[in-house]
Amino acid sequence: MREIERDFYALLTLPVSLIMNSNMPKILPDRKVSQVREILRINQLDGVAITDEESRLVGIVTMYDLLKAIEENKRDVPVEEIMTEDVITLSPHNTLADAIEYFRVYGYGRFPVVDENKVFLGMVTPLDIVIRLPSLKEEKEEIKEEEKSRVVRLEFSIEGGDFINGGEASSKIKRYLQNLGLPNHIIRRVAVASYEMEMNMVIHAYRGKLLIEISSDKIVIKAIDEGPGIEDVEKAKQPGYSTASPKVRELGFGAGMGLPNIISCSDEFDIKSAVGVGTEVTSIIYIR
Amino acid sequence: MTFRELLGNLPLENLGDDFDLDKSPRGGYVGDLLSNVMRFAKEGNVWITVQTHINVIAVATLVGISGIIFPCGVEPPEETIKKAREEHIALLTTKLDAFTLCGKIYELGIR
Repeated sequence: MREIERDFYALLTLPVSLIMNSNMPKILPDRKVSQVREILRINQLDGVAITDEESRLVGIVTMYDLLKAIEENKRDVPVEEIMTEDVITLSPHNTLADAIEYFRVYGYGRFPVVDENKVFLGMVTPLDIVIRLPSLKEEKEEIKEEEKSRVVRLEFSIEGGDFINGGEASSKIKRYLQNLGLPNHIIRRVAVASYEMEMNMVIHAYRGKLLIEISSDKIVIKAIDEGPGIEDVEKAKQPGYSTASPKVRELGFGAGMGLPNIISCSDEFDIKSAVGVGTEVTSIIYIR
Repeated sequence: MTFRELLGNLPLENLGDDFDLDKSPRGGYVGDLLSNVMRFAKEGNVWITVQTHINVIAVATLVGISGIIFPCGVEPPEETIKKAREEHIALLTTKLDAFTLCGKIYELGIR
């Protein structure tokens, strides 16, 4: 999806309370039609909520209703006599997408936003959405900053020699990233690196852990194992070098491509190993 | 060219009744070294290999392989077929050797 589309869809998930016009005049039900028309004219409004003494919504009236009433010589009747009482409302937790859907489905020009006690909080019109969208984008940026600090961690236990389940952890990681909607080229690199790390532990280690940390700008994959360790790490990084047994090689593993594959998929790579203790491999892939 | 059309045109055998044969592979890859396949096979490829153990399906899933053809009459164990069903990867086998199979499916437009 293009960047601009993604931004747009992200904005649609914001609460309607961020777009509503909360700076509305308060109109009591006993105000005369002519007074209300004057208030709307001065405030350049096409419609307004009618609220009781406790600010609870009791109805809604539009400029069209008021002008019609005046034509019918009802200038001095209380506005409650001509207002619409059955009003469809939004809650402040409804999203911008909900609001747009309401406009589409009901075809009304405005929806009051009320809390659970029917207290009037503000009004939403299509124009409010158009006018406030640019400033919403900035608010969304702030929310994004907060999200940056959010990190998802996944952990998988790997058994040495378990060729049946080898690759399961990497498959789960791939599916998780697909559900997050990450770009395919990033998922591919993570899948290759995590599979190689996982299989390295299956082939060489006694047991280990595959850890993955997903933040908004990078994915860190770590394989930490208890195993024989690697005697010559520099050699192990060379394509074609492998200490895998002939039996394992027959299965198509141990081609000496594991570490080179991880390195070619990583933006940052690190390997630490202690003979007789174990190995720790880290791959960092930036999301961009 | 779908897997079903490949089956109609070449001496191939379908290894499961419920594989989705109506998808079309986009290009292919031949290899028995799993790391090599991980690195060079592309999403949507048909994969030709003599490896039959269950880990082959993990590799196929991670790469996004659409189907596997086993050449030289090779047949995978039941656990591999079962896993392939779960991951929606079609499995076919043929008596043709890998070289001849590649030439024929290339000729049929899979490239």
